[in-house]
Amino acid sequence: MSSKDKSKTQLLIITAIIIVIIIAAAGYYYYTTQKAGGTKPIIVGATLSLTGKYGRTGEWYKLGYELWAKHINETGGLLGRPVKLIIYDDQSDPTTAANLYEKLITVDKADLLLGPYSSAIVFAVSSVTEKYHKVMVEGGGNALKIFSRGYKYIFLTLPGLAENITKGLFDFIASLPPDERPKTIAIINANDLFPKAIANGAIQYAKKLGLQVVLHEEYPKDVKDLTPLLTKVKNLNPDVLIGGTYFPDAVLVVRTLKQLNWRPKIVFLTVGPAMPEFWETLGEDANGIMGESWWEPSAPWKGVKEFVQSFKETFGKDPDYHAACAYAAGQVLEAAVKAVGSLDQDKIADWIRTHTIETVVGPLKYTEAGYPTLGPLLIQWQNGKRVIIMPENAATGKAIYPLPPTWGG
Amino acid sequence: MIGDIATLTQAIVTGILLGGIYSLMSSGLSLIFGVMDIPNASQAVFAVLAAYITYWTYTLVGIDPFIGMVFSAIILFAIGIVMYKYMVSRVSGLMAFTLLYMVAMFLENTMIFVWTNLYRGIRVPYLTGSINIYGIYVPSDRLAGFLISVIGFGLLTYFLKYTYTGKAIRATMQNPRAASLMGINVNSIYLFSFGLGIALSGFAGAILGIIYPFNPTVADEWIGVMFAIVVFGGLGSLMGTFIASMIIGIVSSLVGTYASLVWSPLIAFAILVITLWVRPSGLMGRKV
Repeated sequence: MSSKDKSKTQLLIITAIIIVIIIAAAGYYYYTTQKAGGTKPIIVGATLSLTGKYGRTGEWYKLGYELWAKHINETGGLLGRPVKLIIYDDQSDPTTAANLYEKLITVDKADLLLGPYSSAIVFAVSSVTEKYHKVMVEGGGNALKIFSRGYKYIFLTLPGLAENITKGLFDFIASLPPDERPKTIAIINANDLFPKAIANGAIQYAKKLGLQVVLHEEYPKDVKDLTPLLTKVKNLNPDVLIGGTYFPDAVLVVRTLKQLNWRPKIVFLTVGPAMPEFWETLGEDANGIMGESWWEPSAPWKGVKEFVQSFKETFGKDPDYHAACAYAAGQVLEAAVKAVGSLDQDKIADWIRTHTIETVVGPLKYTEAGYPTLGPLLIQWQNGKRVIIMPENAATGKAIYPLPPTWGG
Repeated sequence: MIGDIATLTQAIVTGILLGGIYSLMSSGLSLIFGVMDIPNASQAVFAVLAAYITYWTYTLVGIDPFIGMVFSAIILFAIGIVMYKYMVSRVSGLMAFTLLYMVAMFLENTMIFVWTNLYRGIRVPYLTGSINIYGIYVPSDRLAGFLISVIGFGLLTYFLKYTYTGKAIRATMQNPRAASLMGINVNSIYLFSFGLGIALSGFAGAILGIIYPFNPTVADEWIGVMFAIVVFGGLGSLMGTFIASMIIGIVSSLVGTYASLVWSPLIAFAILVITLWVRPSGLMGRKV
C-alpha cells in the first residue's frame, strides 16, 4: 500500500465519520424538537391576490388573516403551538395560485390552509387541496360551481352563495302579516353570471312563498338607459322590484324610477346599496332602497365589536366584509382544531360540517357541499345610514314599508 | 290605442335623449377623425378625465357643473394642443392610433392610481327627476345632455360654415395639399382642430358624470360605440355623426320597449353593418 493510498483511505474514514455525526445530530435534534413540541409552529398557508387586478381586495384578506394569527398567538396559540402564516402573492392568477398551493402543501408542509380571493382562483386551487385531502377554509369564492363537485375539504365563510342573496328579503316578506304582504314581483338583472344566479335564487324563493313573478327580464351589463325596461315594469305595477345589479346599474335603476315618478312597495338591488358610494351618488333618493350586505361593522354577531376595535388599532382603518370573512376563516379553523385536538384533516372537516361555528360574520352552519346558508344581511338605506333589517336577531332598526308610491316634487 | 301612442312617443323621446348623449360623446372623435384622418383612441378617456375635473371642482370648490364643464373644456383644449404639438404631429396612420391608444392606457391607469376604482357621481339635485309633458317623462339630466349636444353641434356647424378658420378647416379636410397652396397654414389648422376635438370631451365628460356613475375604466365601455357611430355617420361629417347617434339611440329604445334591452346592441349593430355594406362611406360620408 502506497502512502497515497493510505491517505485516501483515511480521508474516506473521516468523511464517513462526519456523515454519521451529522445524521446523528440531525436525528437527535429532530427527536428532541418533536418531544418538546411547543416550540415548533403550526404553519398556516394561503395565497392572495396582492398584485394584479384583485390587488386591492386581496390586501383586505391579508389583514384579516394577519389579525387572526396575531390574536391566536397572543392567547397561547393552537394546541399550545404558535401559528406561523405563510402568504404568497398569486398575482390574481388561478394557475399561479394552484401551483403555489401545491408548493405550500409539498414543500412548506403547511399544516392548515386558508383560501385565496375570487371564485375563479378558489375554483382552481380547490382541486389541488382536495387532491391532497387538505381542508381549506375560504371567504373569497362563492360561485355555485365551486361547491357542486362533491368536494369534501372546502368550506366557505362568506355567508352564502349568489343564489342566497335575496334570502333576507324573502325572510322579511314572510315576517309581514299576510294581509300586508306583497303579492307580485318583477325581477330584472344584468345578463352576466352573478346577477343571473341572484335572479334564479329569487325566483325559487318567490315560488316557495307563493308570490307571483310578473316579469323577469335581462339587460346588457353596460346598459346606458333603463327607461324602456322600467316603463314596462311600471305598467305592470308589481309590489316588489328586485334588481340583480352591479353598482352603476343599481344607481341607474333608482334614478330612472324617480324620473318615471313611480315606486313599488319594495325596491331591492344587489351590490350597489352595500357601498357608501351609493348614498354619496344618490343622496336622499337612496332612502328606502334595500340591498344585501355580507357583513356590517354594526352586526351584533359574537366578537364583532372586539374585531372591529382591534382591526382599527392594528391597521388604522375600519375592516370591510372581505377582512371579516378572512378573519372568520381563521376562526373556523381555530374552532375545529381546538375541538378535534389534532391536525387530522378528516376529523377537522367532519367537525366543521357537523357544528355551528360562531364567527364575526355570524353563526355558520354548513351544508354537505361546504357553504353556509345563513345568507347576507338585509339592509335598507335610511337617512344616510345602512340599517340592518334581517335577520331579526341582527336588526338595528325597523323597515320602511311600504315605500311611498311616487317621489313627489 | 292612445296607450300605444303614448308608449311609442315615450320610446322615441327616450331614444332621442340617449342619442344626445351618444352624439355628445362622439363629437370630438368625429371632428379629429374628419379633419386629420386620425382615429383618436384616447377620446373616451379624456371624457372621463373631464368628468373627474367637473366632479372635483363641484365637490371641493362648489363650482356648478355647468361652469365646471367649461373650465374642464379649457384645460382639455390646452392638453390637446400640447399633445398634438409634441406627439401626434410626428406620426400618422396606424402609428398615431397606437400612440393615442397608449396615451389612453397611460391616462386610465394613472387615474386609477390617483383616484382609485371607486365609483363617483356628480349629483346635481336640480337635475334629478323629470319633466312630465302630457304623460311623457323627459328626464332632466338627459334633457340637459341633449340640449348641450344640439347647441354644440349647431355652433360647430356654424363655425365650420361661416368663419374664416372654419372654412380653412373644411378646406384642409377636403384636400390638405390644395389648402396649403391657397395659403392656409395646415399645421396650425391641425393643431387647433385637435385641441378643439379634445375640448369637446370636456362637455361630454361632465354630462357623462352627471348621468352615470363613473370610474376610470368606464372609458372602455364607450370608445367602441363612439367609433361605430362616427364610422356609421360617415367620416368627416358632423351631421352624419349626429344622425347616426339618433338612430342608434332610437333603435335601442324601441327594441328595449317592444322586445328586450338585451337585443338592443345586437339590432343596433346589425343596422350599422348593413348600412356600411350598402354604403361603405357611411350615412353622410365622403366617397371612399
